[in-house]
Amino acid sequence: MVENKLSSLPLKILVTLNNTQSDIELARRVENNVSEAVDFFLNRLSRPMLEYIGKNIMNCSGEYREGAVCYSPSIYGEYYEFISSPIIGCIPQWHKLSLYQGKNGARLLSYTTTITVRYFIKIRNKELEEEKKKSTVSLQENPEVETLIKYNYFDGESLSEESVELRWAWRKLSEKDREVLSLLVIDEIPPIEAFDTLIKYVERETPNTMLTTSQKQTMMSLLKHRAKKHLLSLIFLYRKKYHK
Amino acid sequence: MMKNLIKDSELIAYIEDKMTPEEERSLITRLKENGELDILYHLKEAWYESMSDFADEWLGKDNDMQSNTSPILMAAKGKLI
Repeated sequence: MVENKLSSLPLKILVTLNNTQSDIELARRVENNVSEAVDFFLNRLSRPMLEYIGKNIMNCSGEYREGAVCYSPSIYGEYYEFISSPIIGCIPQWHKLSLYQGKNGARLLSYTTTITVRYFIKIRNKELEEEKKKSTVSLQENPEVETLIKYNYFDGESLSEESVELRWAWRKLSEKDREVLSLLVIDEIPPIEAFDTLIKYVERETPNTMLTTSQKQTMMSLLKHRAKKHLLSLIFLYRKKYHK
Repeated sequence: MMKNLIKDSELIAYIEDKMTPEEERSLITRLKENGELDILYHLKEAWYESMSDFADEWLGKDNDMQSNTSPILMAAKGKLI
């Protein structure tokens, strides 16, 4: 019933629903090669992810497009072949999208990001192996990865004893970021349970009662990720300031 | 050496913050043993990049990463975190 209703919605309305059911419907339209849906999927939904992959995983040199540096054009063809395969008689079959079922509430963007990042990391590693070069983004050589994992979890004890840089960064963090990290990282409260406390940091017009669990979860994830970015940036600032 | 099997569904749960701390620690351990730890970093960053419009809409612009006088931005310059 829901499926029938969704299938008749115009694309621009469908994508504003922003939930798993609308993701499944979008994937089905792409599978059916509905050109408007294909264009949205490739050029709107996938573009920011491809920009990130082009720049940070494949280390592509940027191209100027409409006054801005873009990193996605160099990998766009490879991505298209990967995500739309197999292509039979010039018609893409989109097998990978046909596997997307929204299982456990997984969003289409998360699914696409996961399989695509894994694919390009594999390509990058193969290229590096062929060149007999050591990966420039290995754990040992990438301070961002190392620091992210080091501080993926920390607790009250780490803040008071273990790490000088962490303590320094923590003091410089905004009260908001400290509250977010205290709940979601130190106390390890599941994002959905922290929602009522942290919702004050989310600006939106939709009343809480209208938000789906998945939307609440995403909001909390974004809040946590942003706070972590701030903390890690401050840790790097500390290292810059007091070492070397 | 045999690599640990890492399912796509686990990585999806990781980026959507749907794992328990124990599940997340187990994932990190297995990826570390595989020498593939950087995938977690790239997944989160690529996902966040894709979600940046929603983040701005829901959380407001990230002033800490945009103001020219922000120590966070100064630290981040030339260093993508």
